[in-house]
Amino acid sequence: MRKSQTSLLTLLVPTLFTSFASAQNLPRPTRHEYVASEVLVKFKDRVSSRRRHRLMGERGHVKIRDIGEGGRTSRIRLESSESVEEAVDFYRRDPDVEYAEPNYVFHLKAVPNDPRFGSQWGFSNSGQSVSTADTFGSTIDPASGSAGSDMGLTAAWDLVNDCSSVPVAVIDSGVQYNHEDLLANMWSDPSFPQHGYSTVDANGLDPIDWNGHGTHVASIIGARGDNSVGGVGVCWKANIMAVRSADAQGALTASDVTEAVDWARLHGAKVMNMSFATNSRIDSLKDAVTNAASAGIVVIAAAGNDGMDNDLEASSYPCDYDLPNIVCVAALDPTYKLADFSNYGSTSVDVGAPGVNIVAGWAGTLSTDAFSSGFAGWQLNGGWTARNFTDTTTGTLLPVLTNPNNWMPDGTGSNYGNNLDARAWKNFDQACSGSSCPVGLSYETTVSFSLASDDILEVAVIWGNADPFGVSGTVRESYSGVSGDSIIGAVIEEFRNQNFSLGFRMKTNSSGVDKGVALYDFALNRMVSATNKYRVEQGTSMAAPHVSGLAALLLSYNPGYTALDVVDSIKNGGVAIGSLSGKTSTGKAANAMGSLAYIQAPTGVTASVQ
Amino acid sequence: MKKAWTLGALFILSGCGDVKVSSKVERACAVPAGLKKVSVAWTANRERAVNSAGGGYRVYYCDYPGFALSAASFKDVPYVSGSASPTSVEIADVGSGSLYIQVVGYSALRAPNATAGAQSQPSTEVTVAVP
Repeated sequence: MRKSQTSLLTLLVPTLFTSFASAQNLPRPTRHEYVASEVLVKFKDRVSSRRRHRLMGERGHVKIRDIGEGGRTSRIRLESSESVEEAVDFYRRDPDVEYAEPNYVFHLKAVPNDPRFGSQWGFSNSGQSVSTADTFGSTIDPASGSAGSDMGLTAAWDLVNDCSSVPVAVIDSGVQYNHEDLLANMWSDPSFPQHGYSTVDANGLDPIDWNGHGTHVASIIGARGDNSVGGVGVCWKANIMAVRSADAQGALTASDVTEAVDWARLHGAKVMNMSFATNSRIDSLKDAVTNAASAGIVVIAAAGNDGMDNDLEASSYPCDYDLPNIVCVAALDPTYKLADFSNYGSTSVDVGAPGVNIVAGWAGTLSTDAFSSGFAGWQLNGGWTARNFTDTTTGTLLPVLTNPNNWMPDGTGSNYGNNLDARAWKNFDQACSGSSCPVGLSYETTVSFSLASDDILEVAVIWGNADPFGVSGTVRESYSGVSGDSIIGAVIEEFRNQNFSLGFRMKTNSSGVDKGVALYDFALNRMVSATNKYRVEQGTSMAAPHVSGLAALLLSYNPGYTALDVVDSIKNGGVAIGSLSGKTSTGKAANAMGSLAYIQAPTGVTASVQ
Repeated sequence: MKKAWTLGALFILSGCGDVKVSSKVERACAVPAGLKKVSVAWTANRERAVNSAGGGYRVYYCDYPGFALSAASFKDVPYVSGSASPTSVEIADVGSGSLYIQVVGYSALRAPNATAGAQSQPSTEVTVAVP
């Protein structure tokens, strides 16, 4: 049987792609809600000047001057001993007063000084394109946005930008917690000095990120703001709990995710970001999310990147669990159109949020050694042959390793022989080694299989420059009697960087033959950990953390809020946009100012006659 | 005035001569005057903005059920000081009959594109019989 290579859940970054105006660093005034010892009072039309002055005189107040149309509003100075609240209350109680209010201080919109902020259209969209300094060579589409298509964060940041009291669990591929724009905003606990936990390895509890996805998600939620470094998060100060449950390839198992949700719940998370999805209704994960709901935790989940209707065409969990603490998020582009890749659903998806051309932190530098750069260094024997086919779709040359040497895509080649031990391997020497050069190593390749029963293809690894099918090598994967095309791949090593060799072996028995195998699109991926990297990404994976950050802002501003209050506020406080009409349950894009201003209808009203 | 608007308005006239919009009756409330006092209380809202300067509640009251807020008198219950806005108020000088009450929370925060501070949907209407 073929070894199962399916990942039950996948991180939600489609294989798509991601410029502008530098941020204006405006001076921000010291924050005061209103001017001390002053109130503004508007008197009713019929109230005489004498009556006004008598009223002011009762409390020892002095009129500074009249303002407003007709001069009916007076700016009044109080006695130093009296609070603004008391004076406002005094005037409001008088029948000759139309209204009375503090002399509020308005602030310039809070604009952080982080150099990449100008490219972060989702927070503040002036119609800019992502700066070429922030695209890192990626193609971005659309090239520019539409002004105002954003989460309204500059206004919200005037009210709240510090979420350090709200732990947000990033259940993902880990977090590069030493990143220059994240370290100050990481969750900390003496028992967990690495700012979180990992459920991926039995013996490795370090949630460092060997993929990059989790670091990007964490940065959207809480990259340190106004620190003159990198970009900014929805929260300028944050409390990011790194919970690693995906390996370097971004693959998650149900057990790893379930354990991660439970761990985060037991360690004080108030918000959980889940930028992953599966079409299987995993009961153990539902139990974990249900327990999180009972513990009052808000769960923000990505809708999925299949461009499909989750109500009718596709299933997407955890989004589709019918639980009241989940907000399911679709992805919007910088013109606030629904992203081509984004799933949607008029009952199963709730709100939209920015998910295209998103600039945020990354975990390190990724390099690849692929067939596309040639076959140098490959040791081939037993019939393995390096060849070039023309890709009929693209018309480009496709480098392929085949066995037998005349394998053909249409099956017209010869059969392989019996009793083969055919090996193809390469030594991948690393530029540095040991713990001083932490690296995540993984490989991936597409295989066109045509193997008779009990004939196998193996993948093996050995440390050092040697045949991986020698005595000290370890067979990592084995595929027996398989037919058809499959993408295979695995993590080779995380944390350790070392000279190693990787190979493929076709091993056949004494009976039965078939057309053999072809390997193409092979890549050895090497993620070298770094703390100053950024990247443009797309996906509902990027949309969800915009909303997780908002959930943290709401809990910070309203400490009395329950999880359901937060969900209610996110859904009701959004801004209706045409592209989401009929596509989500609310038809709205998440909006920070709208959610902060949202007020629930009062409850528990009683009335009695005295 | 545009003709289309006139037709629309006629269409929504109800049988008893009251204009109904969104099922709320807009006939002006006429609470009878008297010597009774009605005390109204409610559960505190959890929004900080309701419980700080510029926030508070409005208690609307009327002599018939299902009233529109715009048709009713109200008592303003603003934030004064401390950690929360008051959660009770007294409506004085009420005469006998049924009194219908709805409570609304408000704040100084403005939602996007709003021209005024935020206001909640009204509470579930409660009624009290004034003897």
